Amino acid sequence: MLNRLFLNRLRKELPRWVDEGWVTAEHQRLILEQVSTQAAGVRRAPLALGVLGVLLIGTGVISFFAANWSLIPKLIKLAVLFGAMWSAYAAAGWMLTRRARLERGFGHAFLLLAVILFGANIMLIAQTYHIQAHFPNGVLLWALGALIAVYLVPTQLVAVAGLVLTGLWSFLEIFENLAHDRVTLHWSFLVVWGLFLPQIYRRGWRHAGTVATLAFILWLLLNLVDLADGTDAVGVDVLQVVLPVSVCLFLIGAIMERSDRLFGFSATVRYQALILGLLSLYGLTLRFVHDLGDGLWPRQAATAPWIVGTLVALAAAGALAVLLHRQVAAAQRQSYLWWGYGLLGAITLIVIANLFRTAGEGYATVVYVLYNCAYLGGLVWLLYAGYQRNDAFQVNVSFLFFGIGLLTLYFDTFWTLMDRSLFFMGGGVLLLAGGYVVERQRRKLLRRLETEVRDGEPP
Amino acid sequence: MRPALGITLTAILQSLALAAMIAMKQWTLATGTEVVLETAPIDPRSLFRGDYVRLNYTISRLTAGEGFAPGDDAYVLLRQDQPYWAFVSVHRERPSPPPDHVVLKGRVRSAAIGDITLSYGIETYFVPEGEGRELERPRPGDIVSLRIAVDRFGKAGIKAVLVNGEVRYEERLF
Repeated sequence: MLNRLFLNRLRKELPRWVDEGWVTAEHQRLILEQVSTQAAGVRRAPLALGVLGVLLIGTGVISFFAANWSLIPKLIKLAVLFGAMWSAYAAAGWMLTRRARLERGFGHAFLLLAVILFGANIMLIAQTYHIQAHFPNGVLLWALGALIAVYLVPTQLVAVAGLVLTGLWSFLEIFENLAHDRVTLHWSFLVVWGLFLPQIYRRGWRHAGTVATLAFILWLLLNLVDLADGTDAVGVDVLQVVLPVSVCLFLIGAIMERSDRLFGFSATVRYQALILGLLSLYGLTLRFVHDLGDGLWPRQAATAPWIVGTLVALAAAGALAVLLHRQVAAAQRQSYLWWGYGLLGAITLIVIANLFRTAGEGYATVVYVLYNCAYLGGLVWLLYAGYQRNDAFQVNVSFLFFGIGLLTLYFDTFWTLMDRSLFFMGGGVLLLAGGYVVERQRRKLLRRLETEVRDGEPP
Repeated sequence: MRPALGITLTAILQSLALAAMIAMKQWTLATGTEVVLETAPIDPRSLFRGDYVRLNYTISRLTAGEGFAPGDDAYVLLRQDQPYWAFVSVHRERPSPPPDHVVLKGRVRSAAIGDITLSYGIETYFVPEGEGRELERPRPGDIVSLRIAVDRFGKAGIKAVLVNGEVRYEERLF
């Protein structure tokens, strides 16, 4: 799990360790040299240039042949298609065996080009031989081609491309289900997606890990939308499943943080779960979601599959919280952890109460107010925990959602009460003043975090 | 694994996948029963896109009764007739075809009040640029038909495009 972030952190930390007498200055030099060599891996600049070049070449080649395709005999077409793919592989092979980093960087880019050409070949051969099949299958074949490359010539770029293709395949399948009003969860995505994970884990590919998490979240959301569409569920049902699922992901990320091998993937899982969870909780603070005012969705009790799904997700979140609690040594359990458990318990109670909701507007108003309190409480907790853990991202996201919540509250409360012109003027003032205050507070907090990290004081 | 070996294996496996696509299509064309199908007027909403022709058949829309849903497989029994093969019946499971009959496998695209719209994987054909319009909207008196091959699994492939019974485009391996 060696990378530039780790190197940067070592550069900050090592001088203090030398001062403390834990390592010698010579050891510091040796450690930094060793980690620099390993962390360098593929340099970003040549890789970025190579990828850009590859994309331009790929686009140009495809455009050229698309314009003249009908004039070219089939045999020549096949020679061009296979020749281009093999040439890209040959170039990648030659460059990857060079010692220079620059050439290795371009080698990875050529490997990506070869995989792109494999996909183009699938489409062009289908066109040449008039093969008309279930369209998502073509994308699946492309993703599987990338998967083969990921195992035979390990390259993070291709893993990222393969995961994007896997996500696209699932999106096309689910889109087709939606178009045909079919309620079928696209489970096969998990098989292909799961096949990428061992290699990502083994190689410690952080970017591929980020894309894998994102692909999983998007798959989950798309399936829930498909399921909601087919079972006449309403928005609040979907949000109340997404919320505990994102808590589960967040807790999984926190548990991963305690494992040496999984540490590097922890942040991306936690951060994506954090954004997903805040988005769903934010959704639950909106009046129309609870059919208050001009509701878009009719208020109705959740149906059995949604009640079961929500309860299972809540139970999983509870089990993961217990698991995390056991992993944290008693001496390390800070106060924010206990507040977090309390908040999780409160949110669980609100979700359960709203699963068996009645049609009464008073009940919905109480739930709406409780969700707003949970949103505010959640943000305060995230700020507090982020500060305790020196987590700048968590602090920034919390401030962002705090601003969004404030603006929404303003829109919700004053839109119908004030004259429109006053409303907009007030909104402008709130944006300017509120933005200034929130941004000032955020920067102040981040400066404090930086100072404390630099000085080595516990926050 | 050494990069050179890994890359060679990747290229070989991917090339095999591409070759399999061609081989499966050619197997259908080489071993399938030849069937001539009548085309129907092109759906006016289908636009001609470049050198791409959208084909519609008289068996693309059938009265099948209830029991079919979009995405379902459907098996269409055709009987040899002159000049075109004729529709006999449509089934949810593959029937055993009597002599001079073939079973064509299709996928239900839409189903409403007993009528179903099917696709058989032979609805598109790429022709040289500028020649597609003539096939989509033939001149008065011109008849466009398709000679297709149907393999033992019901899969179909276009062998030739006929205009007034004369071969206009013929499918070859190279």
